Amino acid sequence: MAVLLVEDDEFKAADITKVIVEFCESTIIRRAMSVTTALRAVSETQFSLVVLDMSLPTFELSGPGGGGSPQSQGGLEVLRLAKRLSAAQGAFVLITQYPDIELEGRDVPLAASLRIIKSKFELDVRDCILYEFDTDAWRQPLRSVLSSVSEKWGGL
Amino acid sequence: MSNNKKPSSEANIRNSLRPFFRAKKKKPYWKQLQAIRVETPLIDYSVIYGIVESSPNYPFAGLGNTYPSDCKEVPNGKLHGLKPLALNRELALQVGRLNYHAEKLSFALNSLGEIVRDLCDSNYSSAETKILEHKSKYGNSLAILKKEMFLGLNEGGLRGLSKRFSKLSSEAEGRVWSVMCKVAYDMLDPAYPPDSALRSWYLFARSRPDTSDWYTRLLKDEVIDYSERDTDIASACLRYGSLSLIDLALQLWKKKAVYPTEERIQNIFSRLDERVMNALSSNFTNAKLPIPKAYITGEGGVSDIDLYRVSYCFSEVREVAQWRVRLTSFLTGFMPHQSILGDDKIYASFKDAAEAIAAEPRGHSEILKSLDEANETIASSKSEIIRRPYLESGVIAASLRQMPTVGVEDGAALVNLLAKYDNIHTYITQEVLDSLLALNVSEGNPLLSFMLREMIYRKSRTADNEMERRLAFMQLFNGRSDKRVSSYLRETCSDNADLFEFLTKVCSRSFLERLFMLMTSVKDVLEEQLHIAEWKLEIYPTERPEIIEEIGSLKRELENLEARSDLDSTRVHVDEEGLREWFSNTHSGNVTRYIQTVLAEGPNYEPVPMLLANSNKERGHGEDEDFSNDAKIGSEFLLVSIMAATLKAFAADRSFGLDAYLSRRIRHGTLSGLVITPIARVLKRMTEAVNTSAPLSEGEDESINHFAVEWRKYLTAELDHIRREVIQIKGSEHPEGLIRASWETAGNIQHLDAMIVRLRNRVIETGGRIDIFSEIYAYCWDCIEPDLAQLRLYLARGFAPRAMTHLQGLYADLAESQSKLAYDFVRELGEVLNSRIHDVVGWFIRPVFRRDEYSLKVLVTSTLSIVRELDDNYSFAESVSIDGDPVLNRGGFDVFGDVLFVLIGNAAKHGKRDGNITIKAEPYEGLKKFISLTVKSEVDNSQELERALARIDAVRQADTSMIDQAAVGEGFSGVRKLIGLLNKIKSGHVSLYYIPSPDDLTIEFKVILPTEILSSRGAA
Repeated sequence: MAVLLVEDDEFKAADITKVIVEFCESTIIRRAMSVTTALRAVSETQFSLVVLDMSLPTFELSGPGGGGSPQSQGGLEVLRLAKRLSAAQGAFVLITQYPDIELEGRDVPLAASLRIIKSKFELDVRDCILYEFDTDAWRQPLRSVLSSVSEKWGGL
Repeated sequence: MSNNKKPSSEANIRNSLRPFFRAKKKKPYWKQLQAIRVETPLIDYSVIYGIVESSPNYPFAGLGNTYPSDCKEVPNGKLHGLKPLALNRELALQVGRLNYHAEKLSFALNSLGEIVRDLCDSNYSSAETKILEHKSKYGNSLAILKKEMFLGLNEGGLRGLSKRFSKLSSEAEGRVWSVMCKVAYDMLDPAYPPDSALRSWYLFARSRPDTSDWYTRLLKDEVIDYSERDTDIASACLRYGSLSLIDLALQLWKKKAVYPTEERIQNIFSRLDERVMNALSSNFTNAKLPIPKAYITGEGGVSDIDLYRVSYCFSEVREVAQWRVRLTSFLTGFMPHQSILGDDKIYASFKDAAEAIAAEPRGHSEILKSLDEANETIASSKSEIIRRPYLESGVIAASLRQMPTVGVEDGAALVNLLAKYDNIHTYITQEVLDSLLALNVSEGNPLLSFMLREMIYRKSRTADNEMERRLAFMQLFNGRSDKRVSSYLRETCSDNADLFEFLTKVCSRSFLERLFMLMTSVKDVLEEQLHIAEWKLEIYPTERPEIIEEIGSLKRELENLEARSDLDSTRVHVDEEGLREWFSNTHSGNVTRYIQTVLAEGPNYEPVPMLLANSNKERGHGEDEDFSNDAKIGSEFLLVSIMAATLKAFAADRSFGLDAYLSRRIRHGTLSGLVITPIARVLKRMTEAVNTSAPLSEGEDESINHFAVEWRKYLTAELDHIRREVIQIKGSEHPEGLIRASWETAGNIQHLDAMIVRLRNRVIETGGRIDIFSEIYAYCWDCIEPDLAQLRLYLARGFAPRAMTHLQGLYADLAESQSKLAYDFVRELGEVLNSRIHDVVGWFIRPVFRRDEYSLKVLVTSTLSIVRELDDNYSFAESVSIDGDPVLNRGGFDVFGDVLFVLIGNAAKHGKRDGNITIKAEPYEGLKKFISLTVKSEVDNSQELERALARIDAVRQADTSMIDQAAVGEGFSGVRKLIGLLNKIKSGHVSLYYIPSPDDLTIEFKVILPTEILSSRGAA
């Protein structure tokens, strides 16, 4: 099974990849660094887990002309599309550096946003995790998500 | 013995009103009048009038107004608390009033009838004289107000209308009367579509609380001539009665015209005094309406939109009321009532036409042509109606409402219909669009499905609707090998100009950018935009200049694509393109109205200074409610409303506004990362060093570990507070937010008044061919600038000293054995903190005020002033020399801005007090578009010079990954970040030098940079 890692920040992506690989070395990790790539990936492939950042550029920064407009709600765009796709979706986890997520025009603290996101998008969103580059507090919740998803899919 | 005899109605009425009988002291009386209205039996109504109406002993004219001489009391606010009775009782009570006053009322109605005839016969001066006589005898009324406004328009077009408005409303400023004047002004304004005016006032009325019914009912009935429920009709009778007897009589007459099968209304006329009945039927049955010159465009004829405007002033005439209601009903769909217009043949023909189009949309042109007769019933023979956009839109809207039931099958015809009437979503509800979308025909026709999705999005711009329209658009490319949007448009629209218009309007940059299955890069988007523009040029050769300009600009962008860099600039930012797109989608009509109003006002018009006009009056309640802000006219007020809405979007929009940028870049990791990371590193080094060399002695409980934990905890909490509460748009959710984004401050209002005058002049000079967005955009930055200064000061003068005090406090508590060893680290902590805060302060500098160009000279001056503002002890002699006046583009501005802030900031920070700071800019080796910028400063002594050079060398030798992380790294006050920034600019000439001079004790930084840098903002 495969994991889609939607993350444009190299350092954060490396940190997250490390946790996933530590959990299961054979996991196939596909990387998307922009909203466009992530939306394409989700519409073309089914992943057992999608790890989502919130704020993303529209296009890959390395592409001709750069990243285009930044999308502060890029992660939610992916969830919005996933909800619309008729094929069954895997699990999702949001890992963001924002302590709040803007939902319906209001900043909602991460802890409270999980319930709202699950209900709005009707998807298997497992957690909304606060990533801090200089602490390890985010690692354990991510491991828990990996573990529960692995149980569901019989391995990642 | 008690007397059980029930008191008579007369006695009850007299008793109720006893406190008011010849009372010297004025007090509210609506409660007593309502008691009389409610408690008097229907059979005794006639008793009421003899006591209440026109008695000089009471402080009121009657149960409502009669012939009010003071327009401030039209409507009578002292009656605001009255509640309508059941329809039968209200009708009977009001007709009884009319009968009681029948003799004079019939004269008044005849007098008004003569005025109507004069106006319809274009005898304007006679009408003017008669209006004066009429008012002196019968006072003010809404009916006469509308005639006066019409005369104003006839006399001098929009300017005449405006003058008449000022004259009529000035006597009742802040009262409902002035709002009535404004409604009439809006309905007649040649530059304002009357259906927009109608919707705007209808929504205004609906937004007010139920307690405002005493005037909102008037507004609703005025604009749509219709009251939906029995209680609304009863309320309309009551409220028009509080205007004047004339208005009450005409309102009942109008209700009779538009509710021909409503027996309660029809029957009441059998009880109406014959004199009043005759006056109504002889004067207000039919009329042929004249079209004022102001409405006649260069093409010669007039449209039914103009007739609709005029009809507002004559809506008491039976045929006019019916004509108007027919059209309003079809345009708005607000009137589902079965009894409306009954078996009216024209109404029925409209309905038949709508049904026929619903069943067979392909035949819509022929069906609409067959409705030719309808307009001619009220237009004067001199006015040839050559266009009927309202009739057509109304009938098409009605047909769309029926299609879900009829089950339309011809998808291609529906596509053409929607493309031809691309504004039709304005006239139908989202439910109708949803129902159309659910039809089989839509499911089988991707283009139709997309167009409906697009219309749903235009009605409600939510993220979900936006996603749906994009998915629907991408669906058009399923099965196509050629995925280029431009190719699709060429194939689909080559013989359909309406469809071409519809689709090209949708294909803006932000829309194309998000077509994730079709576009893979910015280059794809630009190329598609270019192809579409080139094709547009083939189709619309007459609009050449604008399209050629667009093509040129797109080509330049594509040529420079290779040099385009995602400069990771943190400087405060608003997506100007996104705001411009929003502006054009939501304000194009308002801008047109503004420009036409300025042109009509002419060069000699003197706008009201906003400093005077903006009184900030609070809206009160009941009769004390203040309506000053709802009843202002003039181009300056139109501009202010456009500007206010734009400023709100500029600041608070979550996709392109300042708030989006703050969310994306400032409020999350960037802020805390930039400050905490280098501090955490110093803390780590410090704890390791101190714990190793000086472990705690017994009895010492304040360890270096505690210091490190507390300091970090403090900073994290402070920064979290700043992020959550301070760097926010001020509002109820964020009362401590420092970004007020308000234009209502004395300073900003002065800027606003200047902009009003400047724009007026430019509109007049260019004959209206100007783009006002750039001015408004620049003004938005003007409004934000003081807020940014507050943020800078908060960080530099509030947060920084507070944090330093806390740091010193923690240091003072350290165990003595560790204190000495920690000293250098604590000093470093202070330096790093100040340096980081200095960097953060640099984020809050206004970026641009022109779309494409910015003067380097101005940028240097403003950077110097910001550095001065942030440094209490700033005392340098400045020498600035700029060769020529180099112009920067937006990317160039960002980069030069960051460079100057860092270099001048460092010069001030490390330089010799009272020394010199020299800034020089000149073309680099004769290259026009490259600038050599030098910032030179003095240092105190050779030791200071050596220290500075050591720091700079350390930065220079940092590896690439450290430079990439400059935003979260540590270093020489931003120089490392600067190096990172310059590394991303793809040009061989770009370079940064530093030249120390031990003899002069100076350091000179020299940067070579291009003036034009293409940049896009990367996400954090």
